[in-house]
Amino acid sequence: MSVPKTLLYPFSIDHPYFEGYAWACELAQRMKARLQVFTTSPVQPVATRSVYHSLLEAHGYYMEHYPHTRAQSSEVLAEPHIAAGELEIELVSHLKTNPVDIVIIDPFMSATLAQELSEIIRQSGGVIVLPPEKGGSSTPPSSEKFYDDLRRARLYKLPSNFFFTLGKDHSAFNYLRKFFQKNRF
Amino acid sequence: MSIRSLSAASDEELVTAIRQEDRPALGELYNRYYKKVFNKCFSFTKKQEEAFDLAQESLMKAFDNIHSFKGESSFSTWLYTITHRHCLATLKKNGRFQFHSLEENTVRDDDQYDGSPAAEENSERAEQELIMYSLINALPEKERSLLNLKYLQGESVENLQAQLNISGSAVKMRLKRSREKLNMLYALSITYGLEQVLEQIELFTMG
Repeated sequence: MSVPKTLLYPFSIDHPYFEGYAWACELAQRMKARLQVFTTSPVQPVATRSVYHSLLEAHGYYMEHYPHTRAQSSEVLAEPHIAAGELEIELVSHLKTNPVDIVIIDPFMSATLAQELSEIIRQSGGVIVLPPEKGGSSTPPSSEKFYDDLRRARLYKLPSNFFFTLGKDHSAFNYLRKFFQKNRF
Repeated sequence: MSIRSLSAASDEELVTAIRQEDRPALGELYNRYYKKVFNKCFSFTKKQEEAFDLAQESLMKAFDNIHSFKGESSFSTWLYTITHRHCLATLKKNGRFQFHSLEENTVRDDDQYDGSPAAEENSERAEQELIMYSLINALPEKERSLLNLKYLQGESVENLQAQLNISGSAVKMRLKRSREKLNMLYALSITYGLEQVLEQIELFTMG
């Protein structure tokens, strides 16, 4: 039996992160991977409760916006890691002691982690930096949006089996099919 | 359902909308309850990390199986019952819930819960047990330990007298006071709700 892949999604409750979190959940669902979520809290334990509340709210956002793939496969449960200190420093430190296959960085976090990006890439199996939301787009997340975000994301050092795993995802073909339809001769 | 009517809708109306694939209705109903579910789980575990895991799992179980909500009770009762059962089952699996007299009848796998009158009765008993368990956990260490030794481990007054190095009458007096306190807290919990009582205990203890 193969060992499930581990994804890591760093976030801060001070920035909007629900879109990125839901995307990370969706990727974990499609890859049948474990999803770790990582953040830091300057004051413990008081601030910890607000992090857990926020994560539960984020999971509700995921459940609301990605109903179809969720209905087709097993549940994704986030595994929170909350450290004390500065996020940038603690994230690199966490990666050194807890190797993961892919780190998913959302647009808000990419500025915070810009200095550490090369180190994060070095310490992980691969990195996906999600693109900013399209301006004026009110399209709710969907399978199509999942692949559209992946297409626009910056990808670093992804494991060779990443696309092979996603290739088994049937909804990928539905996304690609629209291009065939658009470019019919 | 429009945003305005979402916030004005009853829980049961939202459930109906969710069954018709209204996703914003799911978001609205979920947001009404996720903190309460977390707090309920925390009243069991006293550890936020474990409470988060249990809450996340309970919420997913409930919302993924919302079609099985028959409307025989309010949505909140149904959701809390799922949460209670999940917490009890997990604590039992981890060896942290050992009320021998009731556990075999009250702790079931969610899959086995059929909503029948007998199941409802068991569910009520499980809820009573949950309240007692939560209240015992919320007692100060000395009182909790004394009640556990006497009523869970079955220690005699003589043994307690030796263990605690106090007289037999002092042991009996402490047991009596602890029992009375627990009884009072139980009565308050079934009247005003477990969460409110636990909050008050926490405030009182911290103060």
